[in-house]
Amino acid sequence: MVINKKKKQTASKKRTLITSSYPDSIISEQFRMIQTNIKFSVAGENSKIFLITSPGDGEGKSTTASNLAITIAQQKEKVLLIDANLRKPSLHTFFRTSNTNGLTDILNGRISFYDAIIHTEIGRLDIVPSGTVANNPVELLSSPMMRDLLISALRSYDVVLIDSNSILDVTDTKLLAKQCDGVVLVIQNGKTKFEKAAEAKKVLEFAKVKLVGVVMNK
Amino acid sequence: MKNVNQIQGQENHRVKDINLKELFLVIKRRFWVIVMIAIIASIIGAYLNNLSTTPLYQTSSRIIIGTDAESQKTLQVIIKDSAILDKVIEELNLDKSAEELAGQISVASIDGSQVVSISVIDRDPILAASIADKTAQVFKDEVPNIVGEDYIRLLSNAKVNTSPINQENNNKLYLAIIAGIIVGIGFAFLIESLDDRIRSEKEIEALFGVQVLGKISKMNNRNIKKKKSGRLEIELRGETIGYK
Repeated sequence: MVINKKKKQTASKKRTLITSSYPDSIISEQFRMIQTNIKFSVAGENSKIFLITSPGDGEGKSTTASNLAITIAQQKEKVLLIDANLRKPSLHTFFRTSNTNGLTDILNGRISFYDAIIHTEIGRLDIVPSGTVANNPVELLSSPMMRDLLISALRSYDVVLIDSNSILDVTDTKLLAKQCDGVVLVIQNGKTKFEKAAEAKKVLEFAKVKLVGVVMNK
Repeated sequence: MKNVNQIQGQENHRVKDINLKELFLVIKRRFWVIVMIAIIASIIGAYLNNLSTTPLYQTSSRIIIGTDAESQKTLQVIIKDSAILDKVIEELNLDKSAEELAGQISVASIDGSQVVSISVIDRDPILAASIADKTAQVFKDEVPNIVGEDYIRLLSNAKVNTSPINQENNNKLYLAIIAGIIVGIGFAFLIESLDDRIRSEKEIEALFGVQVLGKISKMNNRNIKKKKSGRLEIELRGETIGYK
């Protein structure tokens, strides 16, 4: 029984990073499709930093972000995945890394950007976890340090993906979106309400952020 | 240009299918709502069915009224008169009024002959038979007292009829199930119309004016299987062993 449970657990963990565990699966193919479509969508623009967000909570932002990052890494591009969900960080659990040093520590000036980067088992994919829980996420994310961080990230990476909080619940995401080249909105089929999606669209338009496209989850 | 036309043509052609498909999807999605309502309705139907069927038994005893047609009619009316029925009630110790008993009894001459049947409907088949017999008997005894002449002969006694006349049927149950399904489907569409969750790419495209980058399927076993069918079997075996 115990062994069974353990096996099931590892199986479910394996499943969240499906593009890495099952690169030939249908879902991995779908992520490759999304990656290609993003490429087409920003063709001719110098877009490298993408924010991944959704109108509400639990619609698959982190899952989409990490799988998309893996897919891009598999296409021989250097990818940095930043967990900017400072309130409910989850990326480190996906990649099973520690969350002691991360984004908040960089923004607080406690450590340098390069010290916070964690190299994952997947080649060409590095992640920056959210770091110690901060009580002032809005200030941190709007600080000039964030701008500098992204600029230095672009020097060593081809693509930067930022996993964030939901766009309607907190201001952080709007501030972040301003600093990105494009926003990818994740919408969960049968969960995201039309009203919420419309609101998210309004927010993005108001912030004058480019919406690269929408990913429909499930 | 040709391509565009083709695509538009396909769109137009597809609209019909998708509408039907959407209806089907709504029913499929709310399947349990429909099933639950149908089950509740059938339970109510079954309950009503049981409630309404107290079995009733009918039997009749026959007498011959040996007189002309007019007198026969008069005598037939007298059968149901309280003068007769009060006596029947008294002798059988019934807990009924004469009017109630009269309601249970019907008198008719058979095929216009002198034979008259006295039919009784009651919840108790034996009691029904004894009421019929007793009524015939009392009638025969009383008629000379009332009209002065004895025209009446008993023809046959009532038999105890053990099969109820109102047969148990499941009409209400079937009706309830059908009504339940119909109400359930209606309810499903009501919920659906109140539900404003996004369910299709079209909705997203219409709302955002950007294209849907892609769809991610549910992460179930089927979708994480390897795509190449050649390797499928080997992989399947490996996976099953790994998971269970």
